[in-house]
Amino acid sequence: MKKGELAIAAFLFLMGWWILWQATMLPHLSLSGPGPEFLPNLVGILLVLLSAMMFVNTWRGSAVTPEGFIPDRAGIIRVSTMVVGLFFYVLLLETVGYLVLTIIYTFYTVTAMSKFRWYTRLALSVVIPLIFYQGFVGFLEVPLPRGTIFGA
Amino acid sequence: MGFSVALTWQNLAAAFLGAFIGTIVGAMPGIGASAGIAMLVPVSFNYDATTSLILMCAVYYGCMYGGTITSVLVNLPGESASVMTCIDGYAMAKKGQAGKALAVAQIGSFIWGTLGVLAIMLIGPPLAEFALSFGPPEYFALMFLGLTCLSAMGEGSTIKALIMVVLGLFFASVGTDPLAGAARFTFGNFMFLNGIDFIPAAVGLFALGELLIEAETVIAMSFGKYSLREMILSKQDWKDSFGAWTRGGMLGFLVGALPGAGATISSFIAYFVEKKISKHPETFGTGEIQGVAAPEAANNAATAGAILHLLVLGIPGSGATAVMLGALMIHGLRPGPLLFTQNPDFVWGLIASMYIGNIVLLILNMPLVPVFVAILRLPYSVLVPIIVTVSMIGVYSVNNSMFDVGAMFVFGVLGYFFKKFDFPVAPMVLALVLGEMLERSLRQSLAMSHNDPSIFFTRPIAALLMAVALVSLLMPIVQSGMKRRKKEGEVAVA
Repeated sequence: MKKGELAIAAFLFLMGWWILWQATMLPHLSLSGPGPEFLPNLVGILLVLLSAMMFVNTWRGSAVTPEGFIPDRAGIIRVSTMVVGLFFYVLLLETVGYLVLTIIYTFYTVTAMSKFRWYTRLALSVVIPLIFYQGFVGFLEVPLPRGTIFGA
Repeated sequence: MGFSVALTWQNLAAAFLGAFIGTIVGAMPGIGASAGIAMLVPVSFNYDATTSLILMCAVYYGCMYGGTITSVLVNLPGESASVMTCIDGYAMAKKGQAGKALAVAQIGSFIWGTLGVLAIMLIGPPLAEFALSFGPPEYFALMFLGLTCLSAMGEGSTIKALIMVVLGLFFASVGTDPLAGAARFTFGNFMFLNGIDFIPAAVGLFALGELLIEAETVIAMSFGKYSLREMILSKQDWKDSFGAWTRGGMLGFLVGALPGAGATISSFIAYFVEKKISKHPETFGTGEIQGVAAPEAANNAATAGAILHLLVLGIPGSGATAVMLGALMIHGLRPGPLLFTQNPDFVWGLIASMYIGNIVLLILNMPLVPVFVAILRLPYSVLVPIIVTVSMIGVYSVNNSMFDVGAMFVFGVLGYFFKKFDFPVAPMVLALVLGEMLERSLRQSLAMSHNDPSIFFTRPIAALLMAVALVSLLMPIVQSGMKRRKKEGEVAVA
C-alpha cells in the first residue's frame, strides 16, 4: 500500500504542475478582478502542496499493508469480471440498445458470480431488464438507448 | 400551507416510495444515502421540484432507518451512520432482544426525525432572514467552511480529504468559465464545454465504486432471529431510552447543522457521550439499550440539521445533501435564504412532507422488517445488474448522453481506487457541486476588493466563518502532532 500511495502522491504532484501549465494558456488576471485562470492556478498550487505533504507523510509512515487491502484470488476475479462487464456494457449500449444488451449483461454477471442453474440465470436475465424497461420506459416514460442494430 | 402541498396524492406517494426505497438502500451494506439519492435524481425530473425533493428527503430519512436493520440483525452497518448501532444493537440481538433493539432505534429515529423537522420550522425563517445580509465574501467563507469541515471532521487523513476537495474543484473547473466564458480543460472536445456533470460523478463514485469494493468480499448475510412481539417496549425500556434519545437527538441536531459534520459523526459523538455519562460504562458493548437509543436519535436528528443548512444557506454539509443541492439546481431552484420568501410553497410543503415521511417510516418499518430482510436476502450476483441498470438509466436519462454514462464508468473505477487507498469521496462530490458557486463568489469578492484578499477577514461574518474554517483545518494537524509527541515520549520513557 505504501508504494501505491507514494505513486499516487507523485502522480498528483505532476498533475498539479500540469494544471498550472495549462492555466498559463488561459486569459490572465484583469483589472476588474481575477480571470478564468484564477481557479486552475489555485487548484494547481494546492495540489502540488498537498501531494508533496502526502508523499512526505507516507514516506515517514508505516509500511504495513492493512489486512484485506489486496483481495484474495476470487475477489480479484469478481472485481475484474465486473469492470470488464461494465466497460463493454457502456461501450456497446448505444449500438446494441438497452434491452438486448442488458439481457446479455445480466446473464454475464449472474453466470460469472453465481452458481444458479442455467434456466434460473436465463430467467433472471430476461425478467430483471424487462421489469426495469417496463418501469422506466413504460411507466415513467424515461427514454433509453434503442440501439442501431436491434432498435430495441 | 405546507400540509395542503404535502397531502396531495402525488407528494404522499413520493413520501411513501422514498421511505420504502430509502429503507432498502440504507439496509444494503455499502450503498449509502448519497448513492441512493444520486440514482433517483434523474427519475425525479419527471416530477416538479417539490415532489422531487420530498422523494429525496424521504430516501435520506429512510436510509437512516434502514441502516439500523442490518446493524442489529447482521452486525453489518448498511449506512456509515449506523456503525455505532452495531455495537450494542447486535449484542442485544445475540441476547434474543433484536426486536427490542429495532423498536428502540426506530422510535428514537421517529421522535428525533420529527423534532428535527420542528426545529427546521422554527429556526429556518429567522436564520434565512439573517443570511439575507450575506454577500459574495460571506458565501465564499461559508462554502470554504463546509469544504474544510467535511475534510477535517471526516474519518481518515485530512490531507487526503483536502486532495479530494482540490480534485473536485479541478473537475468543476472543466468547461466554460462561469464569469468570462473562456473554455478550460476542454482539449477541443465540445462534450467538455458543458463541464462534468455531478450526477455521473456522484453515481460512479458512490454507487459503482462501492459495488466494486463489495465485489472483493461478498458476505453472505445470515440474519438473527427476532419477533414482532419483542418490539413492544416495557416501562423500564422507555425509561432507560428516554434520556439517551433526548441527549443523542439534541447533540445530533447541533452537530448535523454544522457544515460537513453529518450523521456519522453525530452518532459517534452521541454514543461516546452516552457511555461517558453512564453509571455503568462497562456494560456498553454488551447490549446496552442506551447504546442503541442515543446514536439512532442522533443520526436522524443530524439529517434534519443537514437539511436546515441546505435549505437556509444553500450549502450542503454532506454527500447526500450535496446531491440534493445539485438536483434542486437542475430543477431551477437555488436553495438559500431567498427560498423561504420566493418559494414558500416548496419550503413549507417539503417541511410538512418530512413530518409525514417520519410517520410513514414508523408505520412502514415496524411491521415490514421481515419484508426488508427478504429483499436483503437477494444474492449479490442479482443485485449487481439491478444497481448497474438503475445507475445507467439514471445517468443517461438526464441529458440522453452516452458521454455521461462513460463518465459514470470512469468515476466508478476511480471511486474503487479512491476507496482502496482511503481517499474519501464525499468531499470531491461536494467540491464538484459547489465548485461553480465557490469560484463565482471568490472572484466576485476579489473584484469587489480590487484583488485584496483581506475582504474575507475584514467583514465580521466572513471573518468569523474563515476563522472557524482555519481552526477546523489546523485542529487535525495539531492533534496528530500531539499524538506523535506523546508516542515519542512513551518510547523515550520505555
